[in-house]
Amino acid sequence: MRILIAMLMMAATASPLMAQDLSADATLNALVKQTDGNQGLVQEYTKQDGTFKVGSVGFNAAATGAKTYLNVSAAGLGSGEESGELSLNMGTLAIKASENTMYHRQPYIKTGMIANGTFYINTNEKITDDRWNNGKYNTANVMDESFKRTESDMSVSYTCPKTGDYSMHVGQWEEKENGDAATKSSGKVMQTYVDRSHKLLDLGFDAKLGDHGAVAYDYTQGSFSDDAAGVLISTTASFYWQKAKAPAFRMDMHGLAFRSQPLKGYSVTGSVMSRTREALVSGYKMGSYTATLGAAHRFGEKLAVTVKGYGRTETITENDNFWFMNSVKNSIPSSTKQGETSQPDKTNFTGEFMAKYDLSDKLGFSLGYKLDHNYNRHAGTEIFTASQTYIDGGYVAANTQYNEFARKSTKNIYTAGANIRLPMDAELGLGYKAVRANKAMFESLPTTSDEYNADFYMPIKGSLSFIGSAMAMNGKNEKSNHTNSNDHQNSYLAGLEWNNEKYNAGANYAFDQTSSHSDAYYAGYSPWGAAYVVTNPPVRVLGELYQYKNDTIGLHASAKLGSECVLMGDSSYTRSLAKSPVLINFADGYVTDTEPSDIRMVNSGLNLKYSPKGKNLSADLGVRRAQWNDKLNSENSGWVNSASLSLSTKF
Amino acid sequence: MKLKNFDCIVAALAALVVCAGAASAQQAATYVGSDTCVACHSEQAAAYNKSLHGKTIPLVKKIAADKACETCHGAGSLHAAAAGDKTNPGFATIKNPAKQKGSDASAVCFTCHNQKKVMLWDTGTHAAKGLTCNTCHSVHNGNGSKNLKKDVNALCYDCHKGKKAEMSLPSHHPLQEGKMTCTGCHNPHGGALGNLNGETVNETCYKCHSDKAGPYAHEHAPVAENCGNCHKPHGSANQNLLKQAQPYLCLRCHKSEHSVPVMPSSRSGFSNKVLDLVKRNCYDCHKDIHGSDSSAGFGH
Repeated sequence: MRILIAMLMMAATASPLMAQDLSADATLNALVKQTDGNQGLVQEYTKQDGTFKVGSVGFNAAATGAKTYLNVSAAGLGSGEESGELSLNMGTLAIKASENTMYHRQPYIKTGMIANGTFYINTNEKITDDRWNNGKYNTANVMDESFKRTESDMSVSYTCPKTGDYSMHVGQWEEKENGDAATKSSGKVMQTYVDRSHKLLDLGFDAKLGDHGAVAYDYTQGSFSDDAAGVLISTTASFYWQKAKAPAFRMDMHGLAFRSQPLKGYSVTGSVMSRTREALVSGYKMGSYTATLGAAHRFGEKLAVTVKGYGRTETITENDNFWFMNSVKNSIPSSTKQGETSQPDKTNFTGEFMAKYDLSDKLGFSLGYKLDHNYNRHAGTEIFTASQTYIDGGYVAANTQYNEFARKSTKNIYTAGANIRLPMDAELGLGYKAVRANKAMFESLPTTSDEYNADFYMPIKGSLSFIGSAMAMNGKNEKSNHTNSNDHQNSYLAGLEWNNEKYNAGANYAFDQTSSHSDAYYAGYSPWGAAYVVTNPPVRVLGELYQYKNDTIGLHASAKLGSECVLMGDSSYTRSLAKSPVLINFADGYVTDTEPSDIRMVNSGLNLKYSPKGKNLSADLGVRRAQWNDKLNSENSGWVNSASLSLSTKF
Repeated sequence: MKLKNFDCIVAALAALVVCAGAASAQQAATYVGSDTCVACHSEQAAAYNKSLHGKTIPLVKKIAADKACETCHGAGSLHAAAAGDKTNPGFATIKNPAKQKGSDASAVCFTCHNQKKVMLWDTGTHAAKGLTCNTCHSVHNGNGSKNLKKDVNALCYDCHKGKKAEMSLPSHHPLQEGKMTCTGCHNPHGGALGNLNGETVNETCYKCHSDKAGPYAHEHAPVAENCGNCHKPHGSANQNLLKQAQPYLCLRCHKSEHSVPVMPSSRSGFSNKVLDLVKRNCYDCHKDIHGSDSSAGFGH
């Protein structure tokens, strides 16, 4: 809001002084909403709810002079979700500023499960009393938590007036998040606080080097802080853990990039970057260096070749002096522990080759190869299990790393594609991508994957056209038989579009199905006692299937009604089905089960725009309905109806 | 129509006068000034003059107003002398960046644009696929401060149609709500790694999700390696943009962990069965899964 006000003041001051030509329009908005049910999902990114009534103001003003250009706009003033933008250019000096606000709802999403065809909501998720909320928000409605996010950006750039070839800039970007969120711990649901701030200060310059080259440098300093009050989270009534705040850090980054076109059709680019981020409480420090070098060359009109290299190292400098409280019991530290002292340090090198060959206007090919090599120093020394663990018919000793993070992983990625212009102006694009790795970075990732895709476009008749695309992917981790992990994806998309001078209409449909199989190990041990390791060896369930399917249908149409009215409508429907495997523990044995999820989303609207000829007034009347329907758990469902009227006038 | 033809003839004559004595197409073209260009291309000139591009670039880059057109299109004497006759060799001597390929097209824009964000364009993914600046920008008719042909998201969705469908799934970033654009994460001009704004996937995410950046005293290795190991940033059927629902997502790496609490239950009592769900989601207890300064198990 501060930047927004500064922008308005700057605009108000600058425009009359410089303007030879002023234009402006203002909009007055009225909005009425009717809501029901859980708004956390149907209106995830806005706070306007209930019987919400709001009047807000927006405007757009431009002032142009012989040597100046000023544009300032704002929307939603008075609604609590304002946005604004300013662009002022006075030849060698340019100022840009913007501010956007948004609410992000963080409600408690209730869980439940299907048993014998009946859905049972999880009644054991208790919304806690004030004890769990430090006595502060004992009336908290955890179904209606949200925080406000404000993003502001401002930059000033100055170009050397002598040649125009050298510029420098200074800028500040800031993000603030403030409010509440629902959180859950072992069935206890409570309110937690959000109060974060992230700021980036940027200083840099760019310069043209001769006729065919340029260089740019940036220094960025960042700072992050989490000032939210601590919340006590409990696993039992007598055992309190304090929710950790996100660590405050300071970040410094230097970046240099250059390009050169020494010969016609030949380009070279490169960049180097260093970044450090130091956690201010723990003293842990991340340092990274990144470098890229690329070259592109066009051989005549038909063949273009690009080669690129990317290298990066990331090192964590541990602070051996950092000890933390293991837990807090009745506010008394129960013990202290040292942070990890051998975090993985990462090195990544990527080499890439891309070629594009246009045989003719009707046929083109592309080929690509990418080598992606990763080396993780210290990987494998990290302790993932604090207790003895039963795995694959044997026991892994306590404090032994098992969940493998590959020390070395090399991927070879091959791509091929073709673009074909068919009769009747139809276009067909075909693509293939293969990944072959010697080792997956993590167990769940594939070492082998093949992806096929096709895109098709065809003008059918006159102003009617069709688009379609299909994609299929199969991936498998062939280098490990611990989980026999594999993934599959199929997606299809089709659309029709029709346009003429008065009418426009379109329809599209998208289908996406993703599935994966993985052996899963359940109930291996309990963190509360090593006894379970012996009495309760893990249950290995082969080929557990996870699957989701999404269908999305979209419709839109518009019609010019006479010369002054336009009627527009749009509607989208999404059906999202998922099946997730679980293992249920009964006293007399385990039962594998699948937990379904079935979400239906509808969003439809109708707008009538009226712009009378010869008048500086226009009106926009709109109605909209959005619905989120959880077919299994109505606790998450909600809908919102809204009606809006906007009146705009030009000055 | 007749008037337009007449204008062209006048322009051609003017160019001939300017180029008197050097009218042969074999000779190098010379600058004729914008007035000559406008005589035939008045619509383009009017749109250009109204745009932010037209108002600011000549001022900043010290381009004389009468050379505005030829700064990008090259010297126009021979083109003007051809007077619209495409068979005249001089006609094709004018540069049209919208029809040029590869670095020839970008070289025109790089005459003025030196910003760091466009520096890696020539070797970027889009350029390698044959796109040019004019694929997305319209110098004469573009909108807003970026001279884009459409709104950012609509422009990207023209080619990346599958991403538009993903953005309509239950869990998504606020693009369809108008609170974010594709350029919030992507640099379409080419970044150090693909078309991302940051030099890694994680550094891209950390700009807004800075509470996950750490470094932590206990890093969760797949988190520190790539956010995309667990999340689908363009949209998901699962909460929090997760690739799969819990506990399955976690169990794909974590073998033999305690995904099911050990507690007395019975097959006959479904209410007891529901009790098992208390700890079904790993995140319920492992709250600090993105990293922790206080627990190797990310529990608190």
